Amino acid sequence: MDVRIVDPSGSEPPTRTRAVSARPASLAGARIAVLSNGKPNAGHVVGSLGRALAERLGATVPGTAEKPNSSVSVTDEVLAEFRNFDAAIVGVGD
Amino acid sequence: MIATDSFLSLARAIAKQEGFENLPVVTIPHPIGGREPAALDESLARAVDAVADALLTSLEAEAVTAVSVAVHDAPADVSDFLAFAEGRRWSDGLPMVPPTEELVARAVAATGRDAGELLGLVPPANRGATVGAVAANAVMAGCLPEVMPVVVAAVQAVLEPRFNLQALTTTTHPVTPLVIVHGPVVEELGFNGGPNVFGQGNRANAGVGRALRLVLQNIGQARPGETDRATHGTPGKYAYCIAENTAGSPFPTFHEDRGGGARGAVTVLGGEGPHNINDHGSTDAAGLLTQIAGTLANLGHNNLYLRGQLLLVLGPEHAEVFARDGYDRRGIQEAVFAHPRARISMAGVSEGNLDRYRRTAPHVYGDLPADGVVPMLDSPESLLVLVAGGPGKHSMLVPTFGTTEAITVDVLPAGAHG
Repeated sequence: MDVRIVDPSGSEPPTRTRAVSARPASLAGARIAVLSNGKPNAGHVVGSLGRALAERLGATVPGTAEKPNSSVSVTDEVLAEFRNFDAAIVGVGD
Repeated sequence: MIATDSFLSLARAIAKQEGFENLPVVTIPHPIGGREPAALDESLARAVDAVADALLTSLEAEAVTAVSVAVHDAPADVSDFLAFAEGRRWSDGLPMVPPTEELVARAVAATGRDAGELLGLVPPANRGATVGAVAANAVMAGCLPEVMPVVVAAVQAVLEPRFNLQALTTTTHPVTPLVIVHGPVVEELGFNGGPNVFGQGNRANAGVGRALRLVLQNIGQARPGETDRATHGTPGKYAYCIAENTAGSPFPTFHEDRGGGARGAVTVLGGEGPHNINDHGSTDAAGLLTQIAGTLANLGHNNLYLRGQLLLVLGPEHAEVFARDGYDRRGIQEAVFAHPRARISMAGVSEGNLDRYRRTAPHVYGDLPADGVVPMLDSPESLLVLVAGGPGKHSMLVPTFGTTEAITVDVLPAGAHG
C-alpha cells in the first residue's frame, strides 16, 4: 500500500540569465584576470597558471586580486575591474 | 574555474548557482594547502593546457531544468518508506516520519501561511524554501504542528544574508546553525532551557533543530562530502536547538537583550559544538571570569583569525554568582573583553598561520610581532551571553564560524505575518 507524501526538496531554483561576453578566439594577447580565494597557496595556483598562459600562449595577466578570506564574497570593486578582461581564472578548493 | 579534485562537486554546484552551469572546471590534485608552493608546480604545469582550453570554451548552452514533483506515492510500510527516502537522499541517517499530505497540511495550517509561500532560497542549490517544503521536512523531523512557527522563524533567520549560510553550509569548518529559542514561546511550546539543554530528551528542541538541518540538506542540498565540505562535521548537524532559561537568569533576559517580540523569538548562531567551562572551585565573579577568559583564549577556533561573535552560555549557578557580585550581562561582556587571560600569545602560532591571520584580520595582526599578544574579542558585544542549563557548576562556550552574525527573528502567531 502506498501513501501520498509531500516532496521536501522545495521549488526549483530561479533560472538566472547572465550576459556572457564573447569568448576570445585565441589567448594570444587576451587579458586574463586572476582571483585567489584566500586559501593558503591559492594565489600560487592561479598566479602560476596565469604566468604559464602568458609565457606559452601570449596572454597578458595585468592584474590579480585576492579575497580577504575564503568565506566572504568577492568585492564589487574587484568584479567591476574584472569586467575589463577577456576571461578570468578563479578557484575552489583547500 | 580551478578546483582541487575533492572539491569538484562544490565547484559544479557554485557554477550552477551563479547561472553558469556549463562553466568549465579544471581539477588539480587535492590538497593545495599545507604544502610548499613549489610542490604544486608539477600538477599546475600539467593543468595549463586544460585551463587554456577552458578559457576559450563557450558558456552558452541551454539550461536544463528538471521538473519538480510536489507529491509522490511512497510505501506506507515504515521500513520501505525509509529506504524510499534514503534513495532520494532525504535522510540524515535517522528514522523519519513520512510527510503525508495530511500531516504536512496540518503543519502548514499551524503557520497561517500558504503552502506555496516562498520564505527564501536555500544555498548552495538555491532551491526555494516554500512553507509546504519546510513543513514536509519538519514532519519528517518529528515536529508537532505547534512548533512550525518556530521552524519558520529559524529558516527565515538563517536566510538573512548577514548569517552567511552559503559559506556555513559549504565550509570545511565544523559549524552548523545553533537555534536559540527565547521568550514566552519557550514555556508555551515546552522547549527545554534547563538541565541537559544541549542534550537529548525534548521533542520540541530535537524537532526544531532537526527540521532546520533537513531543510538545509533537502532544500539547500548541502550534502556531506559533496557540497557540504565539512572535514569532520559536528554532532549538531543532526539537531542543534536550545532555549533560554528565563527563570535562571538573574539579570534581564537574552530575549529582552535581542529585542524579541511578544510571543517569542529565535536567534540563530553559526556555531561549533559547545565547549565546557568547568568551574567548581570559584566562589566569586573574579574567579569565574579568570576561568571563562582562559577557556576563551583558544588557538583552535575560527574566532582567533576571523574574529566575529562567540556565545557564552552561563549555567544558572554561575550566573547567580555574577549577579551576587553586581554583574549584569553588560558587566560580564566588558569584564571578559578586558580580562588579561582573554588574550593569546602568537608565540604558540606557527609562522604560516600568523601570515594568514595578518591577511584575514589586519586590524588585529597587521603590525603584530611574531611573539605579540592579542585580545580574543574585538569588542565586549562580540560575546553574546545567555543563561541556560540546569543545576551544576558548568557553563559553555560556543565559538562560531567567525564570518557570520547572529540573527534574531520573531516567532509569530499563526495569521500574524505579512
